[in-house]
Amino acid sequence: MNTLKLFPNCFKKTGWLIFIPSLILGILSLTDILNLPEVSLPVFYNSGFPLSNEENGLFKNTEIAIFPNLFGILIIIGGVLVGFSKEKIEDEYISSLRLKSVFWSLIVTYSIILILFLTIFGSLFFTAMILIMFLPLVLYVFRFNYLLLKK
Amino acid sequence: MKNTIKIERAVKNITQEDLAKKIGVSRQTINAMEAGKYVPSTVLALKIAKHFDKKVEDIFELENED
Repeated sequence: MNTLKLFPNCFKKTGWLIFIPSLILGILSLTDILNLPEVSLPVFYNSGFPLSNEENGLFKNTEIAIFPNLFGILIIIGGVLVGFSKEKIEDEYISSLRLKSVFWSLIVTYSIILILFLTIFGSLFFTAMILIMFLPLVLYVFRFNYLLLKK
Repeated sequence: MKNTIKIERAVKNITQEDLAKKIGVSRQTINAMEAGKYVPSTVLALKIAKHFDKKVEDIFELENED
């Protein structure tokens, strides 16, 4: 009866344990509450920034804000595990809730992006875009679980 | 679409949870169908009818707006 390919249910709990802490830490790392160091590491590809004198190209060393990067990676891994693991009983109604939640999160995300395109210019726009990358997944996870729990 | 799942359930005196387990769906699914918020697939409608020893038409009924 069910056709969606999803991870087994046991991954969902693991997902929550990764997703929630990394989401909180990720949000905190945007503020000045956490004072996180930058580390110089070799990366696969460094495109450099304007006015920086670092070498561009493959396998170059660059200064990385390691913790925000790590939190971002963990938000994605945790979010995927939560959002794409089966429920205990995964049936057709649950699939319809998934569709509704994905639809809802895309509409909300692109409405926000549209507003940002129309209103914000300059470097804040790019900062906002980096944060917006996480929004569809985060909104989907919360919306889907809200619909599941709602009576 | 209207359905009489709630009534059939009351006749048999079983909870949403019991019915869900017997048919192999989640409790939310039964709840959503009873509230008229979800129209089940043909497979699920047939399973429900079979569980109550009735025809699908006895449990599910079209409404004017369908």
